[in-house]
Amino acid sequence: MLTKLAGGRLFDPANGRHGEVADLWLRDDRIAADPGPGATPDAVHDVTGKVVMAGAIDIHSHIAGGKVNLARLLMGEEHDRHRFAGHACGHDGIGGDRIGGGSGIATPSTHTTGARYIEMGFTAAFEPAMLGSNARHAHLEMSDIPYIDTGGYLVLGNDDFLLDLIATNAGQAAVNDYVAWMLTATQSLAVKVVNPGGINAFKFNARSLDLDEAGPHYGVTPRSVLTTLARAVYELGLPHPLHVHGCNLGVPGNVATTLDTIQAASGLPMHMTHIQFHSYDTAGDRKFSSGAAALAEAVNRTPTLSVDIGQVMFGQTVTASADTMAQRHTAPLAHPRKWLAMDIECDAGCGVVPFRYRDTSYVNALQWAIGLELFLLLDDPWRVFLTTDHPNGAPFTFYPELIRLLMDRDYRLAKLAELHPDAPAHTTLGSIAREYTLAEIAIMTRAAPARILGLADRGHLAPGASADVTVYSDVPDRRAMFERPDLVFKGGRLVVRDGVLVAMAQGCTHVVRPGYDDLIERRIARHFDERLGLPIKHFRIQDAEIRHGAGPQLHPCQRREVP
Amino acid sequence: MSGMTLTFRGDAGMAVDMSALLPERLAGLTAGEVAGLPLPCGGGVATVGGMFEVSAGDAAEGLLIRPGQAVLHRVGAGMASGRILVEGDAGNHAGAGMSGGLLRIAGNAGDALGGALPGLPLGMRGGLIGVGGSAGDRAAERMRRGIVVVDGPVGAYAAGFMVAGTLAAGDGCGPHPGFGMRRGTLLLGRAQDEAPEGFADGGTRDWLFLHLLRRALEGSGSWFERMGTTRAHRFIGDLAEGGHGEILAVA
Repeated sequence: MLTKLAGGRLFDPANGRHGEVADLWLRDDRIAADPGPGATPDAVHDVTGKVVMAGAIDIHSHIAGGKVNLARLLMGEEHDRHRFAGHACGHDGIGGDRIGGGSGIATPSTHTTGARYIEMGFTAAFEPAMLGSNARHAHLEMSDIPYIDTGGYLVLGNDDFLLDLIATNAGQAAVNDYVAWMLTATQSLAVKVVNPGGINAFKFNARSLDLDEAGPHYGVTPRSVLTTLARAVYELGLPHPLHVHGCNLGVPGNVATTLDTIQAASGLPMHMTHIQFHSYDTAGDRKFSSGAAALAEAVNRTPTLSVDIGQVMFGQTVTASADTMAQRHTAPLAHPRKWLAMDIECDAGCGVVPFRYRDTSYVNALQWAIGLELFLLLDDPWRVFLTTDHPNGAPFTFYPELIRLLMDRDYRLAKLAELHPDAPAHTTLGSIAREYTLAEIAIMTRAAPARILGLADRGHLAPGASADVTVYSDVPDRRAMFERPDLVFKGGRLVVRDGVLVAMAQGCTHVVRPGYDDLIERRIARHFDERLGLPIKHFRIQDAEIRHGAGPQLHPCQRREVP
Repeated sequence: MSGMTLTFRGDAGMAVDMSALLPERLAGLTAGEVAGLPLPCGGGVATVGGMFEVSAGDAAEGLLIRPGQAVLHRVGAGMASGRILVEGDAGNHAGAGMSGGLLRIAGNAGDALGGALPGLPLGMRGGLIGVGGSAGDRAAERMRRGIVVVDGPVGAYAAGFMVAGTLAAGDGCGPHPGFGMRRGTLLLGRAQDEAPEGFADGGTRDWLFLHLLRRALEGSGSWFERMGTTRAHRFIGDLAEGGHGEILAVA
């Protein structure tokens, strides 16, 4: 099958193209070079004047696994409302048919997750918090998400085995072997650390744990967990740096901790996630203000650091996190008033708190402004990623609105004027003139995520890349533009036309598999026998369990030494 | 009555969500207007008129539903006022989240009678439900206020997580009654030999509360009205939730 997209403006920053007019050729599931004048394409799409980009990639979106499913259960009314909203599943109620069923906005079902993503031109989304003990569940759910590529980041840093290795000074080599073994066993793409040591401390009744505070049981500080893991990730040569959800999430004044965390990395690459929730200062009468400027400056001057924002958007959503400590702290603010939290033995934790962000609330309004400030104050679009930390800041379906806020200053100021009247005084947002360009959006949502995750054949439009392509109409209302792409191709197949699904497609699951010394397996096996309820052989996820037997897509690791 | 009557056409039907058809919402609508309303059923939508014969009359005066063999879920769910009479069986979630009015089911009711709708923290908040037959599991779950009277038996987890209110089951209940109950009363028309799990024995005597309940149920024709005694065996619980709730088994 040969497809020609004729006359579009290509935004392909990975290959230095910023709006050049050129034809794009797709052969089967890959982008192909121009086959020359004699070629007879099976399908030709005239995309003259339209914007052509690779499929977008969401590097941080909670779409599968234990807490996501618990959130679905807790938010039953969301699914119930959809089911009985007066129209049937799989039908949008305004005349357009949508393929398949499913329900949910903040907690979409698997099918709905894939459908809503591809309708916006996203062809990949990654689950950023997969617990080892929930990995099989997460993979089964990811197998069930159609249209988009997925992968999971393994949560480490509160697991007893690792904390024990650190507390007993077992050495970096043993930690590296353990991390590599866990990544392989759980079929993960990267390593995430959530509130390093804090979730474990919570189990021993600590309700806060600062960066240099020793945990109550193991006596290990978050700083040492962080540096040990960052080093393991670096030495194993994983493409994606350590994905860090820091200490003190949501606590006013936490920007100081975040700046210390950047220091703690001491030159090792690190990705700091949903930094909006970690950028709060304590100025003003309410002891809550923006720390975005200081943080943005630190990020700008640290080239080894990348961040995603975790933008807050107004409306009902639900927060789901492994950070039991933070979730327990915000539980009294739950709306509707219900929440859940659980300890997950020897592994981590989980907390789900429904939340409604209101623009009439000073704190929520400022959170919104802080997120936008960070987007606009961070210079390098290659190191900042578009996320709402779905569903924690807002459901991912708010991305088009967020893109409009970034690209349209007048719109942004108009929205700022609608907020709680005291909020603008505590943020610099009103004075920032920057507007994102289409090229920068293409970097932030396509080229940069593919690069930071080590997905060589994704996020760009050079021959050989996966034929994941999105075509938009270049209209001034950027929300409308990004909400409803004209065409979306997944693996060379046309799946969305004019914002409506027209065919099914399946993505793949991306994993890494750094090698390890087999000796560690004996030690881990003993840990499983003594502490956990299942034998090691059942813990390990086989290739045949991934994507209904299709197996994972492997990405290479390059071992390296810390200089 | 001069109310509105909905008679299911045909002898069997798919599951229908009836929560849109509340007396207060239909008040003042003509039969033709009601017949044109959409109703979720099975995997799709159908009009009321497509499934029911709609008689002339004002639903504000009362709504009579003749289900035939259809499975009608959520009859009276969320009702705040008015009267619904079901001449036959009701499906799940009958009277769930109800805050006032009267729901009378002549036949059997399904699960979650007077219970909570999915995702909502509270069940029934007021009103009266009477059932002539039996009720399924989780009757009066998370109930906050009001009375549910079932002449026959109720299923498992009766009055589970009840916050307050009364569930009276004439022919006893299934396993785990009063699980997680905080306050409120589960009244059983059968002797209970052992204290249910999580409950402590509180002795047998004549309870003033049952006189009040009898007065509240006057004219409803329910089993408790017919029963002569107000003497009952009391169990206190759920002790895991503070033990302010009670199960009364008529002695």
